[in-house]
Parts: sequence; C-alpha cells; structure tokens
Amino acid sequence: MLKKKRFYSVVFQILLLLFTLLFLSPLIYMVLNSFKPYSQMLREPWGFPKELFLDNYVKAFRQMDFFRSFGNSCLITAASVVLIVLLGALAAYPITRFRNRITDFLSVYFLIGYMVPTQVLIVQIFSVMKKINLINTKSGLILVYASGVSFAVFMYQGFIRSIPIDMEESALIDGARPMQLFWKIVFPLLRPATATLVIFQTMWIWNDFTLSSLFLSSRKNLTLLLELHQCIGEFSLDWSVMLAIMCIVMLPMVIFYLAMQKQIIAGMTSGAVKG
Amino acid sequence: MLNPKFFRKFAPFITGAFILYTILLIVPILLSFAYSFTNWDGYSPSVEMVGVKNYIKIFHSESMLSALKNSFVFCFFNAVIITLLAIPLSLVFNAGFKSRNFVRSAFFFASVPSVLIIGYIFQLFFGPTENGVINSIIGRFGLKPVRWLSRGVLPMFSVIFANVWRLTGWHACIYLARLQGIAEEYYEAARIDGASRRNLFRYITFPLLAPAMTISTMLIVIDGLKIYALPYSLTGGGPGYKTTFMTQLIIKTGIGEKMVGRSSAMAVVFFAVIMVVSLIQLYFSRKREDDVC
Repeated sequence: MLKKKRFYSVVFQILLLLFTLLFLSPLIYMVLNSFKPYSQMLREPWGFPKELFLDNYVKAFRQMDFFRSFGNSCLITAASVVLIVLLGALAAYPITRFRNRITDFLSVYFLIGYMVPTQVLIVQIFSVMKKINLINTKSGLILVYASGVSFAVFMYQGFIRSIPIDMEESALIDGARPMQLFWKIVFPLLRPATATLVIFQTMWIWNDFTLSSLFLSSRKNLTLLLELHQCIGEFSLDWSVMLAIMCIVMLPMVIFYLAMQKQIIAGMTSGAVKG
Repeated sequence: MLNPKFFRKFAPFITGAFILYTILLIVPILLSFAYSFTNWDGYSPSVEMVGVKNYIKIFHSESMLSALKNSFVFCFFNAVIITLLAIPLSLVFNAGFKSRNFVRSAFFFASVPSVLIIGYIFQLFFGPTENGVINSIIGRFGLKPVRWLSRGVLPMFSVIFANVWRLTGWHACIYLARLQGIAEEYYEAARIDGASRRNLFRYITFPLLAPAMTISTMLIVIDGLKIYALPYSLTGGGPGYKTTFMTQLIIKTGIGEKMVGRSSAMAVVFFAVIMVVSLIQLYFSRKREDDVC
C-alpha cells in the first residue's frame, strides 16, 4: 500500500516537472536561441547550441547602449520609488493620526487615484508635462511615476493604524519635533510596509513600457526596455540577436526576483499588488 | 488619535504628495472632462467648444466600438480562464511534495519579464510561416501553418493566451496564500463526518477562497483594462482594430493623431466603464462573501 502511494507520488512529480518545463518553454526558447546562430535557430529551434556561441551577445552589446540605458533605468526606478515611499509615508502619517475635516477629505481624495489608472490619463498628463517643459526628461518621467504616491498613502494608512500610538504620544509630550518623531519612531516601524512597497513598485516601474515610451524619446534618455524597443525597430531581421538583447534586458529583474522571492510572495497576501 | 492641537505642526508632511498627486493625477482627470467638449489638437492656441460632438462621433466610430468590445472580451476571458487555472494550480502548490518550491517559483516567474518582452517572444511563437514556433511543431504532425496573428479570432486568442500564461502563476500565489490560512480543523471535522475529497473542496475550500477570488478577479480586470504593451508588441493592435484595446486607442487618438478632444471623450467614457465594472464586481463579490459567512 505504502509502496503504491510512493509510486504515484513519484509519477505525479515527474508529470508536474514536465508540465512546468512545458510552461516555461517560451523563456527556455528565448535563452536557448540567444546562444545559437540565426540559421540554426530557424532549423532546429529546440536543439542545444553546438558550441559556446556568444556572437549574439557581442552584437547585442554593440547595437544597444547598455551602460547608459541600464544607468537610466536604475536612476529612474530608484528616484521614483524613493519619492513614492517618502512622500507616501509622510502624507499618510497625519492623515491617519488626526481626525478632522481635512484628513477625512484627504483620505477620500487620495483614493481617487487608486481607482483611475494612470495609463488612461496619459494624453492629459502629456499636455500638463508639456506646459511645465518636462517632456523627454528623466525627471519628468520620475514625477509621473511618483504621482502614483496615492497607492503608498493608502497602504501606509492601513499599516500605521495597526501600530500602537502610545510611544508617539509620549514623545510629543516630551517635546519631540514632528520630523524627529517621524524619522526616529514611526518610519522604522513601517519597515514591513516599506519593503513590500519598494519591491512591487520597483518591479512595475522597471518593467513599464507604456509611460516611459511616451515620455522619453531621445536616445540618451532611453531605459533598458526602450533600448530593446529601439533595437527591434532598427535591426529586427536577426532575431537571435534580439533574443540576446531581451535576455540582457531581463537579467537585472531576474536577479532582483531571485533575491526578493520570499518577500514578494509574502507581499502578495498583504494586498500590495497594483501596477 | 493624537492631540488635535499638534495637527498644524504635522500638516506640512502632506504637501509633497498632495502637490504631485494633484498636478499629475487630479488636474489631468479634470482636463479630460474639459477637453472632451473641445476640438483641441494639443498644440494650437485656439480652442473651440464643440459641445457633445466628440461623444456623438466616438459612438459612431468603428475603432471606438471595437476597442471597447475588445477590452471587454479580453477582461472577461482572462478573468474566467485565469481563475479556472489558478485555483487548481494553487491546490497543487499547496500539496506536500519535494519539488514544490521549484514549481511555485517557476510558475510565478512568468510574471517577472516585462510584458513587452513577453509580447515579442509570443510573436515568434505565433509566427505565421512554417518557421513560427507553434507552426513548426504542428507541422511535424502534417498540419498546415496557421496564420495565428491575422486569421479570424486567432489574434485575440493569441493575446489572451499570452496574458493568461503571464498571470496564472501570480494569481495561483494569491489563492495559495488564502489556502494556507484555512484552518485544518474544518477538514478534520468534515472527514470524521465522512465527507469525500470532492465534497471537501466543494463545501470547504472553494467557499473559503471567496475573498481571494474577489481580489484576484479585480486585479485581472483592472490590469486587463490597462493593457497596452502586450498587444503593442504581439500584434501591434491589428489586423485592423481586431486587437486594439481602449488604452491604445486613447493614446493613439490623442498623441498620434493629435485629436486631444476626441481622445478625452474616449477617456471619460472609459472612466465611466471602469467605475461601473468595479462597482458591479464589488457588489457581487461582497454578496458571495456574505453568503459564505
């Protein structure tokens, strides 16, 4: 009886692993063929490369401006996430800890952004940005991403409510200044919420194409993803090189995912998902 | 609550977020209402009021009607298919076996690459010649190549397929989190009463997954309404308007064709749709959750 059970369990696992490989086949295809010449990719898409073939990667680095676009991606993502976290936490604090007409109004006011997706407003945001001369600048795009701060306000509100208030009250009585109170006492306690927020905002901003493609156009400002888009427009005939570029563009996020995997899956339960 | 007399000292904390959010989100919302009654092109200083002409125009335009329909079809099929696949998958994730962590991460991994990249890869998979990945596989069985990205409903199928592939693992994790929260006692009690495995799922697991289902379907629909990069890189919105969705049409009309007025009217209509959809969804989900309790 026990033997039979174990046998079924092994069969089940093998089938499951095969199914998982089938599921991952688009990504396997991408990585596998980035190491093959284009002619072999067409002839035998699932065969292994015959030798260590790195031409595609050499060409990829020649066609794309990796370091500049990688730098742009890092700068834009980091700056937007920092703004979202700082401004969000700062705004959420008084809104949660005081109850008056102003804070009542504000908690509803910030909810509007939670319901209306930025993507639908792009045309109008575009005309506002043009008025203040921030089209095709990295700082302009950073501000557009950072306007998603309403989600952070919403998330921090829930979190602040769950922290006991006593310490803050006694600190105020002892004459602590508001900024001191916030940085020394409140912000460190918000760490779990901050971690989830940082992870999910990083993932979506890094991977975003909709906003970045409309707000950045000159080559010197392009992010990694836009650089890929540019290369596909220019040299899309040799797809094995394009696959190599895709692998390069994807790699930073893969590393980020592997490093943060535990927190990502934990964060999914706390409702941190929006993008 | 803190002593109200301190509020004035803390109020400046709100300024940064308030200014940024107001200028880049609230003002654009108001602008979209205002522009929708004009014929503004986004550049010229002269603006004419045209009343509700834009609204009448868009409801008679083929592009708007098909984009609206496409967005609905896309969201509906995604919500149904992803839910049907993610719930069984979450049960597998929850079963005790050795390679389970690997399987979980592998399925979740599909949501890591940008949708733009996913679109490009699936473009190769659904390629129309015999060199297309799927066509080369079915070619081995003697079948003729299928024009996945141009024939009949197949382009829409391809976009939905790619999106389902991308999101199923992610949503299975949402269900998994909920499954792990169900107390073992329920199952024990039911087993003592002689419930079959099927009934355990039907009367315990499935009803208790209701809150996860609310979150999951809501996310699928909201994400589906915003979809832009995936059809952009997979089908380019074509052939014709067959896979053009609302976001793409709004952007194309407003920025590409410089008809800000008309594009704003589309955005306003789309807001209304989003509001109605979320309210309906909230109502039904709440009702289901209440029925469970």
